[in-house]
Amino acid sequence: MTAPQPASPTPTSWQLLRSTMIAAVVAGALLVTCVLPAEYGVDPTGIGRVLGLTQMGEVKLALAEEAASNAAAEAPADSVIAAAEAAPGSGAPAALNSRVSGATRSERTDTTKITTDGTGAIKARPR
Amino acid sequence: MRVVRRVTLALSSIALWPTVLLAHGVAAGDKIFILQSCGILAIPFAHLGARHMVTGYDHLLFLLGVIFFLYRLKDVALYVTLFAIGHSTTLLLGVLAQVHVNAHLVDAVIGLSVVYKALDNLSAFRIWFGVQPDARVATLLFGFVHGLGLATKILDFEMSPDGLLPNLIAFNVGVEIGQILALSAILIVMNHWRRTRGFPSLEYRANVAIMAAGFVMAGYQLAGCFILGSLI
Repeated sequence: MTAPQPASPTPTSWQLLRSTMIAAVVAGALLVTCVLPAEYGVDPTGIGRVLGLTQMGEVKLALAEEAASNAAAEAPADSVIAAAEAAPGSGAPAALNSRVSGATRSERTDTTKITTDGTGAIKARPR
Repeated sequence: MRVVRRVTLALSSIALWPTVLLAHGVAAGDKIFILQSCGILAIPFAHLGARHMVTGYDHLLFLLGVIFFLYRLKDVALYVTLFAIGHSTTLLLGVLAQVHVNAHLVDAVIGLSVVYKALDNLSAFRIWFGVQPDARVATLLFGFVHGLGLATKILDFEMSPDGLLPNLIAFNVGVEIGQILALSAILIVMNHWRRTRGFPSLEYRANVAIMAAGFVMAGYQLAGCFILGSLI
């Protein structure tokens, strides 16, 4: 027999459903209060900002936006640098450049106080 | 009990140090290394593969779920082989055929695979639907998904076509080595834990906790798909 043995005291259908719901609710609470604020700057409850996680997420999101706009070579009206850097066919190198441009473009660094030392830039997945 | 505690401490300290390195931005260095490298670099890519597995919490959680009720080494070997066949296939094919799948969606499915495995361990499918799905088939199928996730991450690195296949195979071998290392560690801890008196009452809750972690992973990735997906 290679099939795994089931848990010894078999739970009832209702017990199992309740446990699944508990798991889902706990997961949802963690997502809304910690994960979404810290990773994406999305903070529906405001708890993330109190914990300082939303600020982290906003930095990541700003970097991701920058990398995406560079990679897509869309060249928004304000960024001459981005347009120059996002040469055709530049995927990941554009992301590396975006760190430089992120530091030189003051409106991002002023408001969010980023130290663009790579950790955020890895999250900013280029396409 | 003291032995268990000592083993756990030793293992956790071993498991922690790659994370410490990662925190210091070695991952950014990896990316530059891969971008610059061309030609066959078997050992560096094997290292990257092994580290991906040892530090990848998604794979580790799934494997923890898989071996939760496996006692014999023979069974563990069977399931690991199935998982390895699954993810090696899609990793190689995915990279060579340039299959670009949304990484967030793949990772969300991986999170759901953790939920599935935890429910399976709680015999949920037998209780709810009266059927016991074949764990071997499920492991193979989820192996395919995990490999697809790896493939999308490697494609993001834009590896040089020079020496691509040998490097990919080296990466795959590294993944296997990392998996064996991680599984050995999990097995040692599991086997000690199973022998403790508290295990029967904890195993149920442990699987519920694994399920919750799977839900968090799935939600995190799905949210990423919607929030960052619009940027890509």
